Amino acid sequence: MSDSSDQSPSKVRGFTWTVGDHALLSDSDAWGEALVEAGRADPRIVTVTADLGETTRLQAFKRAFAERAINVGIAEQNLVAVAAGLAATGLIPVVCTYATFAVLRAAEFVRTDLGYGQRNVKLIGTLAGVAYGQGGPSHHAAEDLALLRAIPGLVILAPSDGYEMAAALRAAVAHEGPVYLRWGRGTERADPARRDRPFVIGPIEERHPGADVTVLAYGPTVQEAERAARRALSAGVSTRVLAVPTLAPLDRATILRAARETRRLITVEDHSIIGGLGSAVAETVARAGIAVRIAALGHRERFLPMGVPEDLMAIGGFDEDAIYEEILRICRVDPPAPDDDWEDR
Amino acid sequence: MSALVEDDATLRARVFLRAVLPLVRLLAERSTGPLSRARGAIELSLADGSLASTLRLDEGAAHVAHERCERADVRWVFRDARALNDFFIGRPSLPKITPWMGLASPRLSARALGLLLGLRVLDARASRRGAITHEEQRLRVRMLLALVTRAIAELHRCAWEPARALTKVDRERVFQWTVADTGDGAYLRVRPDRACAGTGAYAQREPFVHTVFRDVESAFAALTASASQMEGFRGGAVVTHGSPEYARKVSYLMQQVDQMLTGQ
Repeated sequence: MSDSSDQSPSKVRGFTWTVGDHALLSDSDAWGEALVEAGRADPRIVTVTADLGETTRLQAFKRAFAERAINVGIAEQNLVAVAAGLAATGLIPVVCTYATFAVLRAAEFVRTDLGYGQRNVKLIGTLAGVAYGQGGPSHHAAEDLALLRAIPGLVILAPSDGYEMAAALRAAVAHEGPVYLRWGRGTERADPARRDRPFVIGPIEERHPGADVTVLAYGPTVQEAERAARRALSAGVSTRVLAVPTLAPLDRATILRAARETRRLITVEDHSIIGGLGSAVAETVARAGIAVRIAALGHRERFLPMGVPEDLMAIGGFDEDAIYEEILRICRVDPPAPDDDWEDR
Repeated sequence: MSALVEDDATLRARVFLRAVLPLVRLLAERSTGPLSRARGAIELSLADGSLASTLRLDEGAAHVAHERCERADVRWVFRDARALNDFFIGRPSLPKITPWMGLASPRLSARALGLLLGLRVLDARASRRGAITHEEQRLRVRMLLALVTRAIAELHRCAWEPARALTKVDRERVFQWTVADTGDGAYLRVRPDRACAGTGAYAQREPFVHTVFRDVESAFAALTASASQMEGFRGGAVVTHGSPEYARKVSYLMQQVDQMLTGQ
């Protein structure tokens, strides 16, 4: 995953610091620690991985409880089946691998063993969306929710930062039944004030108040939406930002209230606009018979190329700028004059 | 449309004139004494006329304009870009000074020379020699942050590929550096076809990458290489928010700027 342009410390002078390993710097360590704490409290918790180490944050658990950490190798169908089997004996398996492989490669096992069998497995799909942009389309997960939303009895969670992921994991472990946690790469800036906030499965959370338009987002797009909402204030647009950390069961009441109150909805996701939050919101509003304008931002019927995640979000049209432009467009507001002063100050 | 720079020496000369020279403003703000009130204009240029900047001193303030000056009081003309670069690096190299080697405007010349020599505090090696006060550290941090942002902006304007790599997609992005306890900072604002730098915080949009130093000491240690990199990160002395890949790209550019300006 590392950028190959790392500079050896011994060769640099002057401005010498570099971001050597983002795994050391992000708040996503929080959920690895939360898993260890959970493991201490409950000996039934075991981890299962498909030959992935630090990127899955399971290494800390393995160091603490080596006998409870299982590696099945690069075999995702086996991964889910083994986890389901362990759950059948009363254990609580926490499974983690890349989202696209956890869901697409092991789809039938997720459906039948976890969904139909209601096995108490916590399946973490990491590096979802374009979080592993450098891996290229083979490693992008833009279809996982489209598949999983159709499986009955599966709870789907999508936290937006490291602290929320830790809290979501605790909630998932406490929940009786299969849970899918969709996680990115954890570089979102986590608010220390939210560190100890408990995670409740279900409710949508209002992150930014507003009356003119509602933006619904989950995962890494929540902070993109918040930034866009703050910018939109300068254009006179009041934007409500709703974070959707639970995609199933979906908090339809809050969606409908937002639809009635703001009449304009924008969904944003690092996922296909087909089958994800965009579809879920449109289905909800249409079934309720509410006439609103809806715009869906996300992966649009094309594969995104290999690249840095932030660049891919820009190319795909679901980053801060795209959300901001859509807010103005759907509200029919002209953008304020840009800052055209490019002189050094 | 940015002008493409033809050779490395000219590129470095542009960075010295457009990123380093303007920092005399910060030095001038804090200097006192009779020479601080010198007034006049000094033009620095290359003999072929391809590059010129004018340093104007007036009532204690210093301002640099990137243009020729028809009525300059003193002219410093460098033989070529290499000679200019050597002068700023501190190697033996003197411009041709007219009129009368600057002696016709002695106070102005002395004041300008003092300010230019003051730029040597930017050399990381100089910064590590001997103890310096907190205020001195703070000044150097401000200067170094202003320097690096202006330098990268200039390199971007010159279509230097590593700088242009910051803007591969059609987005405006702001790279911000902030010293948390003083509020000092600088920013680099880039689009695929434009770039600029400024001191303080850019107010029009939130940063794409935001590097926050806990305090002046942390910033000084990081910018002058007097502390281990990862020590700083682990201790929270330096925190970077935003895209880690682009944080790495921009810190690599900072290293390139350092090498460019120290002649390494």
